[in-house]
Amino acid sequence: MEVSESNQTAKESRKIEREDRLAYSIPEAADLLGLDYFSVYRLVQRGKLKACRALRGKFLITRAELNRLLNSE
Amino acid sequence: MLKRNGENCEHSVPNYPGMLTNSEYAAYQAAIPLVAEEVRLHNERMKLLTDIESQSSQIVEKIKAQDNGVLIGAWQLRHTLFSSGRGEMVLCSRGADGKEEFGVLERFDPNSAYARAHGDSEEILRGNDAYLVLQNFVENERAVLRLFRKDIKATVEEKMTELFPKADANRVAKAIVARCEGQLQVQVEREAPAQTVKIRM
Repeated sequence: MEVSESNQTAKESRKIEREDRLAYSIPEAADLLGLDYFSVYRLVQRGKLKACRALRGKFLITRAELNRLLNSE
Repeated sequence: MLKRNGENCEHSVPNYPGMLTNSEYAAYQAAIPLVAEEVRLHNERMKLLTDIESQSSQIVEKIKAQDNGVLIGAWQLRHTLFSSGRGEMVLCSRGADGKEEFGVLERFDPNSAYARAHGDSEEILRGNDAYLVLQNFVENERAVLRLFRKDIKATVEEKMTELFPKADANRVAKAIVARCEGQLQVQVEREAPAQTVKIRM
């Protein structure tokens, strides 16, 4: 069971890795993580997920950061 | 009449103190549908928080009268604060060192990538006073909504720059955020004036 879950997480991580995008908007990150918008903003607000700001101030989550989140305990 | 960029500032819009030019007003009207869903989500969540804040005492009374709730790890579910298709926020309790402890937990879709990596629930905050836990929870969620509003403003500016390069995107974005915030203030004042004053203390 644990092995299967770990495989699935690895697959999700690879899915993000396969995309050639460097960063994602909050709604896109929410879709990739399977969370709703507010959960992702909450992760940013709690400091569990680092967001950067684009030119006009829009929040972006880098692909590396999403991978770090999915691979951290 | 005040002029900006050669245009008269003749359009007033809800809750925004300034006046918009023809180009800005056209951009404003075009921008609203582009972020309508985000504004709806924002307002819906803000209304939920206002309701939780004003009903905190009743929620605490209700959970004290309960016997058993569904178990989430060591916690017992007492009250669902809000839920979405992808998860929910719940108020829970448990016995700790002979005292009752209360916590707000976020539950995720167990099939989501995040839940597979981090488990299907996460503790957001906890304390021994259920009322204070709820009040802190509402404050935290308002901070989350402030991040969301920043994103709405940035989205409007981004789209306006593409669609109406001549209009002042920042002014239009501010007018839309003011409209959003203004609507909320009206809603709060109309629905729970007494509680609002009390909570601000």
